[in-house]
Amino acid sequence: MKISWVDWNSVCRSKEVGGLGVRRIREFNNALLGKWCWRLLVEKGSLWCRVLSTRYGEEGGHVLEGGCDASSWWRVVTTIRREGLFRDNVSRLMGNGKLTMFWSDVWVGDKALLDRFSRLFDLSLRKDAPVFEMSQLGWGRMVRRGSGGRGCFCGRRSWWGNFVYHFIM
Amino acid sequence: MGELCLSLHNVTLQVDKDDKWLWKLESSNDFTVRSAYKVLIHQQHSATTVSSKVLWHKDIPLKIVLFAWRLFRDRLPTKDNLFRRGVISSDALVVVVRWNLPLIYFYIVIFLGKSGTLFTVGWVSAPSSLVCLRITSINLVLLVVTILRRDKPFCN
Repeated sequence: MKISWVDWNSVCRSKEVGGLGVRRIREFNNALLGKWCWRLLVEKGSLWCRVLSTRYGEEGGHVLEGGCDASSWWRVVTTIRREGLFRDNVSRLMGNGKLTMFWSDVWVGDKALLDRFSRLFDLSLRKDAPVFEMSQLGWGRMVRRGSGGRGCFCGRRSWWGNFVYHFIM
Repeated sequence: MGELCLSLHNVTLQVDKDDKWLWKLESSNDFTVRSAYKVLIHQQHSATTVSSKVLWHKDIPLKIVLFAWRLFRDRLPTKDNLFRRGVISSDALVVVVRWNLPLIYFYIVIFLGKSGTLFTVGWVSAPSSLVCLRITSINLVLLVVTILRRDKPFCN
C-alpha cells in the first residue's frame, strides 16, 4: 500500500480552496483569544470585566496588565490586545462621547491623544475625562460654527480659550 | 495645541447615540474569530515559508535538516527552553548572564558542493532576551555550519 503524503500547508488550507480545512492551532487559539479582547471592549461594565478591573486595576478605562503574577490567560489576552492585529483593526465610532476617554482611547487618528500630545496630557488636570466632557468646554460650538482649524484661536469664549483654562485650573 | 485643535475639528458628536467599537475586518463591524484567524494565517505564512522551503531539501542529510528545523523553531533543549518548561532551575541560567552580548541575528549560509551556489537557509533571531540562549545559539549555528561543510558536497 502506498501512503500519499500531503504537504502540511495544504492540510491547513481551508476546504474552499482545496485544503483539508485543519486549523493551525496557534493562530486559531489567538483568534479565539482575540474574541476576549473584543468582549472586553463591548461588554465593559459587565460582571466579568468588573472582576478583572478589581483584580488588576484600571487606568484610563483600560484594565491593567498586572505583571507576572497575573493569570496566564489574562497575560495572553493582554498581549493580543497590545499587538497589531487587534490594534489596527479596531476603531471607534463616536456617538455622544460619553464612553470614550479623551486622552487614553484611540478615537481620532490612529493613536491615543496622550501619545500624540504627551506634554499637553501631562498638563491636563482631567486625565480621565471622557470626550463628551471635553467637548462641553466649548469645542462643540466650534464645530457647529464650521470654522477652520485656525478658527478656534479667535473668539472670546472659544474652545481653545476654555481648553487652556482647563489646563490652568 | 494648534495641532490638537486641527485634529479635533472634523469630529462631531451625536447626542442620541452611544460610542461604539468597530471591527474593520467584517462588514457587520462585529468581531468574528473567522476573520481574525484569516489575518493571522496570512501573517504566519509570509513569516516562515522562506526558510522551510529551502531547508527541506532532499539532498541535505535528514539529521541536519531536523536539527536546523528545531533550531529555527526554537525547539531545541537550550537552557532557556528547559527553564521555561521547569526542567532546570533559574540558578542554572544565572551563570551565563554576565556575558553581555548584543542581540545578534544569526545567518546561515550553506555552500552547496560543486555548483558553488550560495544557499541561504534563513535567519535565526535570538527568540528570547536571555543571553544564555544567544550563546547556545551561536554554538548551535556554528555546529550546523560545520556539519554541513564537512559533509560530502551535495549536488543541486
